[in-house]
Amino acid sequence: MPERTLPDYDQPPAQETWMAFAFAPLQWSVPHFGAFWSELKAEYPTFEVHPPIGEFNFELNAVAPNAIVNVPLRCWFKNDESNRLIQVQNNRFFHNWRRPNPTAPYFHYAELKPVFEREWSRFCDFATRYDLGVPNVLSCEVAYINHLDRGEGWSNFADLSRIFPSVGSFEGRNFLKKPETISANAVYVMATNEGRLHVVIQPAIRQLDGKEIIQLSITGNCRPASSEISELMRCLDSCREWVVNGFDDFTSHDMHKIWRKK
Amino acid sequence: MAQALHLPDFLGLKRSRQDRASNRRQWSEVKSLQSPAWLREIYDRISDLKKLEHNWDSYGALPVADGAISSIRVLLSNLDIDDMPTPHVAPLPDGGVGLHWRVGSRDLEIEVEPNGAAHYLQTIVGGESISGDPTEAQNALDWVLGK
Repeated sequence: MPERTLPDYDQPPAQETWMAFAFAPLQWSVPHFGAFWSELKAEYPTFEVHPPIGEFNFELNAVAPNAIVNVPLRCWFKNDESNRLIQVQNNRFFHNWRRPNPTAPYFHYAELKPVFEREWSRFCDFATRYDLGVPNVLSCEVAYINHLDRGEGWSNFADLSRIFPSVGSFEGRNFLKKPETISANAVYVMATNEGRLHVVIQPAIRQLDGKEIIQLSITGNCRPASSEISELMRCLDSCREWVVNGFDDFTSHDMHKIWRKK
Repeated sequence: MAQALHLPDFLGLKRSRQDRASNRRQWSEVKSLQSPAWLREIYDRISDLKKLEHNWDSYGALPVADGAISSIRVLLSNLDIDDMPTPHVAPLPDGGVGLHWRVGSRDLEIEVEPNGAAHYLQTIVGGESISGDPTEAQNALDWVLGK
């Protein structure tokens, strides 16, 4: 979809975004993390090791005739500016961008997508060279994490419907008064049933500065028809279109004025 | 005894604990305001301290400094406090903020100075003081719970 048809803002509350693919598991083992990192290290010089996303089995049998060691891992590779992150595990590939602080410049999808495509190509090239095969992509994902600071359009959770017009007051008929906090999770079916849009509202504290926020996470997932790069990019575009239109539709005109909708 | 707690060191230590539950895609770090259940209430109490004016204790106390409020909020959001009971929040005469937990006979006080520097004090009720590594505030919280 052409860029101009999607809603746009001068000061959007987006704090982080990522694009990701989930694929059928590769025979990816511990040495592959190091070998892959050696190819990224100039751009992503630091790493962290995390548990994998999704279900996993941990196996360690040191006394069997053939010792079994299966320790599922996810590695994070981070750049020096601490605003770009690649996450790799045996069945997922992520590229995250975040604002190092809430006032840092906004990132634009049109600039990020080519970077993701380049990094995914690098990953596929690595997998091919190491005889792991070409990843069979099962799902594409685009997410935006938005931070709505307390004091900017809202001051307490009774104001929630001023931010999200479709969200009610959560007050009971007689007994329950205004809730102290509210969290919500909604899932929408994308057109032609190609995927889902997940909207999550969560009261939170931003650990960087200790400020109270409402975190609005909007994630689009869809299943590609093939693992061809053109199809994968089309799916990312579709997810992103749903995320942006969903954000605009889910939030109020008053908040759009604060975010300076164009 | 009170020992200086340097926030950057403290944050670095904390991060490794939070990674226990890092089955997440998100990179930017947030803490849920719904856990522990008292967190929202304590945040509001801390915000209310900003309303105190000069001489709020009639002994010449200073207004609570923005730096102290900001620092204690960052501190709370970076500690593993889900199992902790509700702390007592109090303004300090020098413009700082204090948090106090008591579980059984164990006391922990965290004080944040107007410039944001933090100190903590571990004591057994009845007099015995316990010293700890000043960068290991999380251990002090665990100690209060008897972990």
